[in-house]
Amino acid sequence: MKKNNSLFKVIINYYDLYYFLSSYDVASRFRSSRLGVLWLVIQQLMFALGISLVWSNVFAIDIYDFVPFLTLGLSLWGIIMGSMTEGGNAFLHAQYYIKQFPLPYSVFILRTLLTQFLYFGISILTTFIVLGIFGKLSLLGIIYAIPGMVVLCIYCYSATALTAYLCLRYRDLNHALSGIFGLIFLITPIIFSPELLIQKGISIAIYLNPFASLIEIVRYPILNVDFANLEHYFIGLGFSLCLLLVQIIIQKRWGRFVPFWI
Amino acid sequence: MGTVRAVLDMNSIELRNVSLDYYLDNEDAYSFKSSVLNFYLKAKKSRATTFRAIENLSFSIPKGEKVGIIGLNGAGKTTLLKILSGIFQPTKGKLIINGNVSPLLDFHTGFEEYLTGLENIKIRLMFLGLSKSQAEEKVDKIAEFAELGDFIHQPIRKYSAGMMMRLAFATSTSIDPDILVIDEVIGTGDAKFAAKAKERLEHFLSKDCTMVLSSHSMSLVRDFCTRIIWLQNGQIVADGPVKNIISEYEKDCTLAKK
Repeated sequence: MKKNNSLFKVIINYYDLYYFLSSYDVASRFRSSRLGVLWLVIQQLMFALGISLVWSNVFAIDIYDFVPFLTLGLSLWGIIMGSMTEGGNAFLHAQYYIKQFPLPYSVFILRTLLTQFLYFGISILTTFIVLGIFGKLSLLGIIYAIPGMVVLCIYCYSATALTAYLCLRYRDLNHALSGIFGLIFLITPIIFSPELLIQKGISIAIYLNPFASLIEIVRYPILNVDFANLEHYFIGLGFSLCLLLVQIIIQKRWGRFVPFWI
Repeated sequence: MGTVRAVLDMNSIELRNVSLDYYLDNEDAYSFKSSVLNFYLKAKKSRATTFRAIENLSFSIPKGEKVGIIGLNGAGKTTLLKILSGIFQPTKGKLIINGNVSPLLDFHTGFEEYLTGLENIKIRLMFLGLSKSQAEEKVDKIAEFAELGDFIHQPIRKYSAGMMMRLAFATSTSIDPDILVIDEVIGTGDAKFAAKAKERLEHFLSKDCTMVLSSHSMSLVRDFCTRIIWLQNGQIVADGPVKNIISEYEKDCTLAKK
């Protein structure tokens, strides 16, 4: 039964199921709060504005440039990190389902992925509002960002599926990942601008960091209404495809062990 | 070739030399840190130990047959049912299934704790392969059968074990699968619901639905099955008509007691 389920078939055939579960995931996070999903928005705004106030002074950047830059960067970082760290829980949270229903495992990967995208949808809408207020929003910019978004989507699926398998096999990996992403957050141009590093002559820190490219290919087009440097597309896409390839190999080799390892 | 296909189609389930190994944990097997360390220290890979739960099983079940699986605890009954359901892939051998399988393996887990009974019915139906609209059609009838009253609108975490069981049983037996796989379930619940559950299962008896049922209750197996497979240590001890095998099995059990 499982063998004939290609990813595209699963995406279409099981849409009802994973959409139901994902929307439940989002709703349940705000179960006991009256503000509901608004909390996400408030949280995001507080974070972005708080950091902006301090760091725009540190870097001596105009706050009108800095707030849109930071809000967008943080929003993108949310889905980039979330795909990896939450992907690790995709199978672990579904253990009782996996043990008693013969479903393709990608249903649970899609559930986690869609949950992350729903959060991202909320945060990117908030970001657009902020951008609008600061006069940085243009439709053309969003259109320029489409190729970058496509690459980002490939990354998100690959990362979620890969960590789902890896974190099932290595139970301590999830903790390691959150630690590693804490570090990557600080060395990735989110709070500071990539130009800052290039001016200091350490542009290598950007080009060696695929996460920087993934952010740049979406953030730069939206803010500057132009495509980002071509290198970033290559790095971002190359990195995503590598993850996808490793994920496919691992899925092939480990797929049958999932119900035993869980 | 045509005749082979025809013969295969008559069987709902066919197992050819199927074996299944469980992978036993050694302490550090699941740690990334130790795996990396071991790799660098070139430590000798400790061989993963396995436990063979199913050993070289071959049998086939024709369409519409009701088969009972009996055996002591640890004989491999549940493992076999999980293989038949498509949850476990056999380590060795081949499994052929014709038709869609509805597994009834566990009635106490697999819920979304904070969702209501009604919503959990919907989720479970979708897990069993129904579409959302098909699921929504069935929800009311299932709720009625489960007899949970107003609790059906309460989140599952407020339910007692018996209530969860009733909900899950009502849901899983509400669909019409080609193959029904049931693991030791009807013993649970109060007498009233047990009678009702039995009635529900009898409804499957008249249909040409293939049924595989594992149980410790000989009366249940006698009532529902026409054929028994007796398992021990993952192997078939006996396979045949109900009467002969049950008497032998019971003799064996009383001998073991002494």
